[in-house]
Amino acid sequence: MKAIPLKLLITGASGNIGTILGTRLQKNNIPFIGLDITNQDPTNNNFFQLDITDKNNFYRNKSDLNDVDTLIHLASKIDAGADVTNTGIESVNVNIKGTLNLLEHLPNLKNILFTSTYMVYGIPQQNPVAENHIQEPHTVYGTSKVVAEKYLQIYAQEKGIDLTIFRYMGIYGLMSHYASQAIPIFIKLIASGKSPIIYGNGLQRRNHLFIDDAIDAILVWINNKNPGVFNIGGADSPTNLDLISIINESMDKRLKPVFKKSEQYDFITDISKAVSVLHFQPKTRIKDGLSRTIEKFLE
Amino acid sequence: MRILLTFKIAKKKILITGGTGQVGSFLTQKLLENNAEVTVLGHNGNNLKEIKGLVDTKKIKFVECDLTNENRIKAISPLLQNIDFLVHLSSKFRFSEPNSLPSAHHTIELDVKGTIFLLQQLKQLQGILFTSSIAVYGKPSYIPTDELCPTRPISFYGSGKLATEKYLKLHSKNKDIPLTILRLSGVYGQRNRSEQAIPIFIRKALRNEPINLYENSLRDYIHVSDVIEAIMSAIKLNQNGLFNIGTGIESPSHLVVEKIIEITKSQSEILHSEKSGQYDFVCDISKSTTELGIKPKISIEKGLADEILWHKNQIQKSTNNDFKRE
Repeated sequence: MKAIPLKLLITGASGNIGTILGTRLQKNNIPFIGLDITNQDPTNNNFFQLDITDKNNFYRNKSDLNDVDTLIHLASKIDAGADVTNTGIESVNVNIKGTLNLLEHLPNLKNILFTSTYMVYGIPQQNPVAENHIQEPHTVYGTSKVVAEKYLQIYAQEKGIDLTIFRYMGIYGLMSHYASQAIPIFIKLIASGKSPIIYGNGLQRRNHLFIDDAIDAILVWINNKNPGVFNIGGADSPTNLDLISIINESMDKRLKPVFKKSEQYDFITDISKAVSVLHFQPKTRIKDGLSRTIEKFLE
Repeated sequence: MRILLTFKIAKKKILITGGTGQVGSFLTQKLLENNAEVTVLGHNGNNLKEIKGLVDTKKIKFVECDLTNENRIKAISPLLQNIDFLVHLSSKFRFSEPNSLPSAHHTIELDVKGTIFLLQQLKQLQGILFTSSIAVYGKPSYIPTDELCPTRPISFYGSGKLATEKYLKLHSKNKDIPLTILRLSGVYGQRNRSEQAIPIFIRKALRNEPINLYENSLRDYIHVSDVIEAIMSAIKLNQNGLFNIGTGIESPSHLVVEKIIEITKSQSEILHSEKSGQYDFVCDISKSTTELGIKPKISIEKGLADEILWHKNQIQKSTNNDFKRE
């Protein structure tokens, strides 16, 4: 008997978000094909281990991708740097050219979900930052995502594909994720009895997004596939001082932060469009999210 | 407002990409007149067109290099070491299928990666000027269009230009190098070898062939000599800035065709036909007028006459060559 063709493809399936998304989809009996440069589950037959920058690799799997009509494109090269002469090319190859390669081998797409980032905006001109805020990214990563968004928009328009773009706020709840992010760094320092370092006065606010809420947004999308560009952010906008006091409290510590001079700014994304059009609502309050992150860390 | 043009061009080592093109060849000449040391980077050393004489007489340096060829860029690195200023004109407009994925890949290779490869070699830059295009606006949300209009390109040509802008901005911010972005409206005038409306109309008119006129839309055409003025002023200013470069005057396409027919005394018949996706575009030039201190001088009548004369001479030259060959 021939297997039912799988129509949902998830790239970056072995990544931080991809792995958790995969588990949730299995729980909900939603079949999918996973694609990633690394394969964490060699027993999975519905998995393609390939590098999206390698065109030739695609051709071997071409026929298997013909039935795919829905793409969730998570695969991405994250890089917090700002020197384009240093990491720019690799970022272009994965985040832009890799995306074009994928499109080339998915001839029957009807829906695309592309995960982008709040970093497409650069420094906020005002808060909260809505989707139509100007895009002046100051990182290599943010720039590659702006460009990939534009190319996807033109392609989707040309082919009549419904395109959804999620601009995720910084995601927490994964200790390995974004090593440079404040939350995992604070937790690691406080756990080892060291003073957390704060750049600036500690009053800068961000609507950090808990991983489960980031996944929820994707599940909501799988159900309604509403097209458009959406900011996806968390339920609360704590200051760095708030974060430290909550972490101290849940770990039963009292470590005072050390301040380092630095220009910092608030970054709160306006998620009202995602709430009203996509029907996404972040559920995890910062206290709860942080204690669950700490639990994972202590495991 | 007083405009301070403080950047001295004389003795500066200026690199021009796309220097053999229409804007590039005129700019090369102009920079030479201002005593700059000009290096032109082009992808075909056998087709230097108007700058051939300057290369042959060693007034300028020509470096053959395809910007999509990383190894070649690395190989010419010694020639790029002391460049003070980059004028980045290089671009490719002609695609057989402009919105196909191969075209998308090509714009990324040339516009984005080519630019990054180049920046990797240019370590002493004191300024960058990039000629972008009004194609970054796509179908503009409003006309006349100023620099604050949202950028929603509808072609990979436009997205390639926008991508280059974004990467150059990142580099400019990170390395503290002043960056001028000029979003050019439709450039015309002599040496126009593009496959855009005006040269197509002119060639047809000169041959008395029927001219297809698609749905009447407004365009803003700027003569190449006015573009050169804008570039020269922007280089002398050498500050971070984004400018639309046009005339602010709307030219309906039927009027352009009628003028061409009138000037050429052509017998061409105008065939009206429909084409979807047409839209109007006119620049709001207040920012470039006040901050660059420029004002377009060439009227469409004068500009068209100039371009028509050039095309006539080109046709004459090629017939003479054919004649010689026979």
